Amino acid sequence: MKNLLKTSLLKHTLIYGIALFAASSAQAQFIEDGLRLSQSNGYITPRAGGLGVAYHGVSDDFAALYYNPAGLSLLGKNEVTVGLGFMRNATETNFLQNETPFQVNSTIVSHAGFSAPFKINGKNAAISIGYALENNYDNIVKIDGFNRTSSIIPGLPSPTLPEADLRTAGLGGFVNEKFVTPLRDSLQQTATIQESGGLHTVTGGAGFDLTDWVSAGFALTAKGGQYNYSRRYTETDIYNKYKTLDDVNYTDIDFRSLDIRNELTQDIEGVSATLGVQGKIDKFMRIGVTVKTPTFYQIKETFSTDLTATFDNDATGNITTGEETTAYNFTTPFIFGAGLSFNALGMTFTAGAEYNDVTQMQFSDATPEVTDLNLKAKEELNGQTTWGVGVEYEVPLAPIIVRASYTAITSPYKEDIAGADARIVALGGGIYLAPNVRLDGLFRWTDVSQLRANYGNGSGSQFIMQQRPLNIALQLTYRY
Amino acid sequence: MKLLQKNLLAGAAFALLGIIGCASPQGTREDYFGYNNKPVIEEEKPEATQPQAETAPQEKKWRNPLSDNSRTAHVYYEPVFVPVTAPWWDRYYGWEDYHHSRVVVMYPHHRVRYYDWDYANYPYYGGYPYYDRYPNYDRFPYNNYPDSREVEPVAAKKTSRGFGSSRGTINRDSEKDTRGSNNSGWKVRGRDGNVTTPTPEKPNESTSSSSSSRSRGSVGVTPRGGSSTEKKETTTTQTNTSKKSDSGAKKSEPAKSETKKETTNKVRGRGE
Repeated sequence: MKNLLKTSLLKHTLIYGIALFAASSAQAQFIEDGLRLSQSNGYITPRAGGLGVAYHGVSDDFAALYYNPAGLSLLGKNEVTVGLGFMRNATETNFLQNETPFQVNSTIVSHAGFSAPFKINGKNAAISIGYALENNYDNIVKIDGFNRTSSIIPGLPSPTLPEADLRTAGLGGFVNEKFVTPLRDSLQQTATIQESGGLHTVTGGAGFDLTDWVSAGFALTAKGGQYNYSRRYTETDIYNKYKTLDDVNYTDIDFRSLDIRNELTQDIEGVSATLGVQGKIDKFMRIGVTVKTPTFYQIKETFSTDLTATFDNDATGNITTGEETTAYNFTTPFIFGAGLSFNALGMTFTAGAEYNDVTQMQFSDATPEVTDLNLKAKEELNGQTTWGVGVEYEVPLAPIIVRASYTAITSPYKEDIAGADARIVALGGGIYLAPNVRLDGLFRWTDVSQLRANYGNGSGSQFIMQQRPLNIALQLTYRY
Repeated sequence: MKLLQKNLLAGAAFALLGIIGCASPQGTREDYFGYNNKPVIEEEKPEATQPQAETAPQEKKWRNPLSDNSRTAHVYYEPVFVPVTAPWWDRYYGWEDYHHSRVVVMYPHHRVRYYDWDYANYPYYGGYPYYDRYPNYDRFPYNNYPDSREVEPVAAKKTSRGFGSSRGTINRDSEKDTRGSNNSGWKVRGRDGNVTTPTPEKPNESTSSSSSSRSRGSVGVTPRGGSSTEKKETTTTQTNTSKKSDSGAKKSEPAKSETKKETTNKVRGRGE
């Protein structure tokens, strides 16, 4: 019996310890901000999306500008291409065994580009310029659960929400010069997180044959866009655990609910370059190697927090931070890519891979809290590998081409949950409206899970978000 | 009607595709889209109507074009530019970027001299204003000296945000007040109905004169120094209470006045 009591005590101490640890820390920018900028969830063109990362092995149209610009020299004709996409981003969160699904739809212009081949010293070359959507941030997440072990309130004090303000709002008080709040657990927690925006790119580049069988290419990309994050987070004392106000020792507060609204807008601008080499073996095989230089981003943030606490006597306390701004720079790591393909009897098999060492992400010109993330990235992150295979087949006797691919992306974290490796399955095809006009379509399913936290890093605040976006897209390509 | 519009739009789109597609495609789909490691790029052929002067036999003897009375116009030859190296004494200084790219050395008497091949090797020219184009030729007017004054860089203050899709933690430095550098409207409304001015985290330096008196239900508003303050750091007088806990503050004893830096925040009274 004594042992049981001891074990129970130890357990509770541990839980409280974790909760207290969570409460004693707060976050500024996050590694996720860096990861979001270091990765791409776009597919450039529906054809490239249909082949996934395996498109590295083919790289023979406008999308080569983004994968391997050396492949532009394979264009024998002028090319005009444009694409439209639709995304249904379905998410499901698992928070305290509560599963909450949600989905959001968005329509995008995937790309628009022009390529023109020409001869230089008797050898093939081509230039290309165009627009592509590199990242689509549209996402909505809902979380709902009764949390017996922790609350956001003890961890609220931060540079943006000072203890004195929280006391004024009625969420706690000072005892022995320390901020104390009894509101630590047993509250119903709900959150709706809405992310939106996108990262747009304009790229220009050229590819040219060095010899009959080797070509090289380069591309320069300007990036710009916006990321919006909006969170409405509530905690409610649904069982009326907190009933009376003890404004001396703060052992209790007649708390009813807390409503926090966070708004964040990031204005993003960046530049990068891509260099590529492609070898062609006879008429049936290609091998390509690509280096994407780091993207140098300048980010401006505007953010605000609005907090309202409601009490049993209908009194309310409110903190409105107003809009604050900050700015910092961010540099992504190099990305190395390679691919090969071979063709026989109208069928093209292709494979590709990319390596993105996200541990080298670099925040700079920022607050110490943010630059600390550089070390944290090295401690917590891993190099990220993307690999995939694809196939494309020209259906004989019918003006149709079909393609399919499988792509896997390893988790950027050293330790992660099951399902954190993204898997992408794509099916696509094209119809030849004429020998020189093709209408391509794409269906692309992604499945990836992420571990996130409502606050802090402690037990009880984390939830698993499973994202299963479906992309449907159309591309029209005209060559002349 | 809407259905008709949709059908019309779709019809127009397909018609456009058809027109584009049938616009003289010369070849098969394999020619346009096939897996081809050696595509043939069609070069523009010279048109038959081009003047044949270029293809005229080169061995033909040169003849003075002016001697040909049958011609009504003379051939105009494009001017050809060739690189020319001008001696240093004969250089034209009007338009080159020559002056801007070299090293400038400032002397205490604020004379400017150039260490370059033409002056460094011939210092005696530097001593004569009329040779070094200064100031007679007005190349370097007096108000055009390099400005050596140090300019304080305008450093934008950084602020932190404390929310987002978090995976890790970083230590909080609550002692540091990062608010206010670019704040546009900080407001705190206490549940007790009194007005406060949010300040950096120091409970024992709480600037809240009235939030300490947490008498519930009170509606009175006690503005302290107006309802809002300037964003820039200003010095204001504040009432300090509540050294240890709110219970002490509840007694509402205005202790002493202390001078403190005000932050940027706006303060508003509470409304229940």
